Amino acid sequence: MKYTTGDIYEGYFKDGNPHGHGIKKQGDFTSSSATIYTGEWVNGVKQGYGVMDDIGKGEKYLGNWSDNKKHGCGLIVTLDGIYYEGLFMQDVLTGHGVMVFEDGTHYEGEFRSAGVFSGKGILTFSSGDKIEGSLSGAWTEGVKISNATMQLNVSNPVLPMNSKPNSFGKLSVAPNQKWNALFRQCFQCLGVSESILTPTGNHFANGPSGPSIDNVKIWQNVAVAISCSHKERNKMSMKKKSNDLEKSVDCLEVIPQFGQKTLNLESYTELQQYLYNACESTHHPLGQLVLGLTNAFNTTYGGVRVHPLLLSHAVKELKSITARLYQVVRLLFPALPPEGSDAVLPYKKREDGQEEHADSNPIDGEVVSAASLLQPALLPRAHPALFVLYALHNKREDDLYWRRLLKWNRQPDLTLMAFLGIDPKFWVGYTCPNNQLSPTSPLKEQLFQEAVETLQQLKTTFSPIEKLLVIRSTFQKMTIAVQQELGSNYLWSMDELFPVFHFVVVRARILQLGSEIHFIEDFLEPAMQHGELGLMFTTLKACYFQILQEKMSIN
Amino acid sequence: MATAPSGTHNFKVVLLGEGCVGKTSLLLRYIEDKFNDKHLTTLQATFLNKRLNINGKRVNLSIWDTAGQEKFHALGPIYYRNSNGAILVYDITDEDSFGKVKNWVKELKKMLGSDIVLTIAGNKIDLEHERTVPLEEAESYANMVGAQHFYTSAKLNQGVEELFLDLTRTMIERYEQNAQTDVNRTSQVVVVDDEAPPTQSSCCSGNRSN
Repeated sequence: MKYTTGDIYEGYFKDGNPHGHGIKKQGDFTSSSATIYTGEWVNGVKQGYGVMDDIGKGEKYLGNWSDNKKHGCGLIVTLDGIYYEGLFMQDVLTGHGVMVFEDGTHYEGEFRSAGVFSGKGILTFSSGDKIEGSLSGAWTEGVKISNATMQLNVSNPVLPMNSKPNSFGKLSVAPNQKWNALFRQCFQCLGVSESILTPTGNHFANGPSGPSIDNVKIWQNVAVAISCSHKERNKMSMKKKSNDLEKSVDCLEVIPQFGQKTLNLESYTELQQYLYNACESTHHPLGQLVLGLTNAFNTTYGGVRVHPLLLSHAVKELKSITARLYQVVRLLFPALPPEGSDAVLPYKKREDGQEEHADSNPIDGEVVSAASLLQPALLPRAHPALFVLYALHNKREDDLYWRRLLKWNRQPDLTLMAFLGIDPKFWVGYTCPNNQLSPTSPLKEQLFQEAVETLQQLKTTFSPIEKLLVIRSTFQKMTIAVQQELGSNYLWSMDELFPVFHFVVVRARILQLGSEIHFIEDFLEPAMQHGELGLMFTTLKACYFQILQEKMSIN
Repeated sequence: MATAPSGTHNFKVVLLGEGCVGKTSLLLRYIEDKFNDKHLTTLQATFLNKRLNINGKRVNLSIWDTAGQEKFHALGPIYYRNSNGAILVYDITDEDSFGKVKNWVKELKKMLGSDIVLTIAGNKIDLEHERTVPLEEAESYANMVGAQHFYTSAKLNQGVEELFLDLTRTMIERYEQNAQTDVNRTSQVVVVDDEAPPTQSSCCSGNRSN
């Protein structure tokens, strides 16, 4: 809807007023007073959780609203790289709060307004020195300090980077309180009473399958929602969309039989496919929810006003979204295991039918969990914004890593291998006398070329599990290469595997590897951490660490 | 310390020790004893996943090999993070390798405290005549730091099976002890969580009734 003032509102209405989730763009974007609000509305006023991007002022507020004003828990990030978090009253940050500067200097204590200290507080400098006492005044104009003690940090000269005040992340809105209007909308659409939505995000407070949930009815509502939305869209744009979209709608209109009572591997694959289609489709209530959530996520964490300190918030929010979305999915497919308890669907017994076989490899099965089911749908959409945050957060290490990598990669294989401590038996093709004259013979230019190329695909995948599989095939390629040279009986030991993998990692030249590792670590499922993929990932992490540790110059 | 819903214990064990002490051969021996080559994983002799059944308790062991070279020492914490057990291997004919074990013990105690079960393995007892690490010294040291001590020979397949079995048993014991204390701890955590704004009133009333 467009207002006469030129403002635009896009979202849900009630009685002609914004009500529910909506986005409002206000002001002229060429002038200095433009804002975009994404969040909850009640009878025309901002109320509940919302994100305000104030383009004029250059700041972004993530927090609670009441009667069009910032009110309650919230945080602000500014273009100057300052981060505030605390309690807001009538648009103003007052009382206990936290402020972090770009260089890591931070203040925790009483505020009169954003940037104006007033009362007891602790100011910690990036050097680690601390002042604790009564502080008052705006930081831009000079702060009056009285009755204070100063603690000098002499013993520990290197302060851990990214040190944060104690209350960091504790004074802002809990992730499961965010975007509830979007979920409510979806529940309405499914005809499920909102009351099963409890503040903790656990929709099944009254037992795993509360009496109020009528599965058949939900599916009818899904079908109705799809066909309504479909017809409406058809009326609006008669023949705009291509055929494959139609097809996906067709297959969504059939109410699936799988995943209702029991779950096996086959029906799980079908269920995954159905969910994938549903999340892609704007006609399906689930697809609308995913679209709304990912848009909200991207407006919150994307754009120019991003701040590295938002990373932990973004990760928590995404995890909460995954958990709550999973609750919705479980309404549709009650056979899925409850949140937090994974089920493992064993793969079919192999043809040789050896019992012992299945026993020896317990991870041989499809792990069903909220993350494994929904990450493939959510992460690719959230990845660009999220990865920028990771890159900002890990910038220092990643720059260091990159400088070393560029330098090392100028070396020929032999020099690099010697430098990385690779056992000479792997220098095949270099050591034999015939080749000594031309150590850079094109055939053997890069011994582990295939492995290197495989690892480079890390950048083209977006979910942690896909990335882990890339790492696994890298190891497989390395094994093939080595067994070709040293005989098929060759077995890796970590003493030998590590340096060779290290070499592959260096040669693969993966940009921002530290950020990639951090990302995988945050979203990796606990069930996988101990397994073989866990060890592979740990080895990649160790390589990155080793690259940062190693002395820079070769020779 | 993940426990799958089915009640299976999932334990992670790291193998630590200097290069050449035979960490990998120990693991390989343990694998070969039970499996033929076909069962090797992608990471071959550097990783083993094994299911055990001890006194009716199902255990899932994930054993991780590590690189033993001195220059990779700093990588230790990345590997032993979240481990339930560690096998510290030295070569009985090499005193330096025993010194390395002592360093690991110190580091692990400092970083993981009693969360991790330590087992020390004196490997290569087939070379008894070349022994340089005195028997009593090794055993009394292990005793002092609360670790089990085993003599093994990957070559002759001595002590390997026993070592892994004993370690697993101790890990189960340790886990059950911790679970006991965890019960108390988690119930406290729940209370703290409940103090979040929505339920604050109930908390206050609870206090008043006290």
